[in-house]
Amino acid sequence: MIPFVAKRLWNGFLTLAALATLTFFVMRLAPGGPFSRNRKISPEVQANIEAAFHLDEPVYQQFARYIWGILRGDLGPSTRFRDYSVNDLIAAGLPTSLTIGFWAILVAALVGIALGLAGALRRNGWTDYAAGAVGVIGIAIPIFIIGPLMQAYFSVYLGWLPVGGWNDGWRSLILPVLVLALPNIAYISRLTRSSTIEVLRENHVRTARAKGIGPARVLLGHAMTGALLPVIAYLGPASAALITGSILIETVFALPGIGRFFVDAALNRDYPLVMGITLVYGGFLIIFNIMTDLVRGWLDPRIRHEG
Amino acid sequence: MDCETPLTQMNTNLLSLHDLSVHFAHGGGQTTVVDRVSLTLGAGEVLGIVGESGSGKSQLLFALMGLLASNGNATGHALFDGQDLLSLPTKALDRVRGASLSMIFQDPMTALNPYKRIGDQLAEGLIHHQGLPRAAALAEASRMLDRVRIPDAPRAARRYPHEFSGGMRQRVMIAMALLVKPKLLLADEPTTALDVTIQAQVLDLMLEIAHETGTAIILVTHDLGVVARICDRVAVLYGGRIMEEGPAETMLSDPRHPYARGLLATTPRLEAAITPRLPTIPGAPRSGGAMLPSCPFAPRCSDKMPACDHMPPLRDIGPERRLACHLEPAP
Repeated sequence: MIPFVAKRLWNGFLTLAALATLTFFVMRLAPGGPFSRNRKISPEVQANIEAAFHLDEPVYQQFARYIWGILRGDLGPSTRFRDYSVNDLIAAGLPTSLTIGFWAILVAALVGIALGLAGALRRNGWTDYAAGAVGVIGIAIPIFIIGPLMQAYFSVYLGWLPVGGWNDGWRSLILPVLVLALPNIAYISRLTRSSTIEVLRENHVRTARAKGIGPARVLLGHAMTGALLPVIAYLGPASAALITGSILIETVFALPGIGRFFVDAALNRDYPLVMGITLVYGGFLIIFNIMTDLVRGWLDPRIRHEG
Repeated sequence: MDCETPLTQMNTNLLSLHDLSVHFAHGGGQTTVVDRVSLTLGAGEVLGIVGESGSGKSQLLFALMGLLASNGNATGHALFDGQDLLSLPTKALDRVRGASLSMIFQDPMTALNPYKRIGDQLAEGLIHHQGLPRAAALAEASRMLDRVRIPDAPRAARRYPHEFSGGMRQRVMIAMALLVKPKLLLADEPTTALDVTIQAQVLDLMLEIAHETGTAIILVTHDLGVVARICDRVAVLYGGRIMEEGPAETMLSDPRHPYARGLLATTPRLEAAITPRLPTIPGAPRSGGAMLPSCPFAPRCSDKMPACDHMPPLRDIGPERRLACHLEPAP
């Protein structure tokens, strides 16, 4: 178990290092720089600004400075939001994104698995059709359509919930969480349904039924593990994606998360901010993948023994 | 149940099948894979059911265990220990299967749960049916693993199926099936998936333990050598129907049905003179479709006669022997 974890941590570290390097150089390959503007500014001012952000140094020196910063936990100053460091901006936006993402993934997992199981156990029953309908809606209709529709109905027409913003406590959470969870509910319920149906046909489940231990124990004790393994494999990366913020959700519901900073930063060539958020996202992705591997290894001895 | 008194009177039999049929619905049609099979089995007896692939052997066992696929349906009666297995609701059936009726499956590589330790898989039945505490059940399980000659049984009980070879897994399955000391063991080609070198060893082990616990066995196989060695009685199945049935000894030395004779002729023998080719039964087994009124073997039969357009009934042709063929005149 310890080599299993150590190997994955080391791989995660290498991935993160590669990600940091790649982002750094790709950003610099893009035409223009943080301070290229349509409006001409005097060359002296331009040079002064660039010197302040060390953009006048050779690239290898900038890279060394950047890596040294990461190692100290300092992601540098933002070039777009003056007077703020990237650390400040992430610290400001991340809690919002984390909160919404956490609830969305929790709702998506619970509802998705429940709907999927219900569909698999009573195939072609009404729950199966309902889950299928949710699935089609959740996957086919994009967030920027379903979000405003829900705002129009629940906030404007019924007046139950705030249209957007982050100032109404838990009531601000409900709509963004629902809208963010919906496509994932759809995907997870389809996944659970098909893998459960598949597992119920497996020979070892037939053996379990032959033992006369009753349908509930056959399902929970023998079929469930195999049925949930693919779902868990999906949940890991999906959690990382959800909790690090969704630009669409944050725009539609006017939420102060890091998703918006990311797009803003990319459009304005804010090198440090783009790289900082990329690293945060990469870090979460790696952590969640390791956690996924751990859970799958814990459930499936064959994965665990492979190391 | 009044109308069934004649059935329940046969209380000397552990299992008696009356007109057991298995149908599968598909498309808008229905396929009959087992057709009105009637058989009896005494306590402790070993019955071999032989036939080619697709003759309905396995589905017959699945029907008894309530394990038919969801589009399958069994009709008739299967009286086991005073209860009709085919009409029991799942809850009542669950008190029988895994307790007094257990089954060994064909493919040991996939029949065990890959996510659970084998000790737990063995103990599960004891805990559920006999109410044993977990520790006692696990101790019992590892004693049984030792009994099927799994080396270092207490440690092996903590391992997972993928850590065992096919032969070992099948011995684990045997241990699991016999641990509950069932009255009847259904064995569906238990050695077909194993290396030839260990088939006999695994079979003997199964037989030995079943003998100790007084367990009767229905062994489904297509290996007549196995039947000759371990079975008391044999039933030959073709196209879902019993063609011939009788004591293993007399039936194998003097088969009457053309199909049974064909099966025997196609079994290679060590002592026979070397022939250039192994004899075969021409044609292929019938698969699927509705049941015909004719004998299912007729298209492949060398002794076919006009009367074969109607399936002859299974009738007695001697001590404990039954045959369904027009060749043999009634005694």
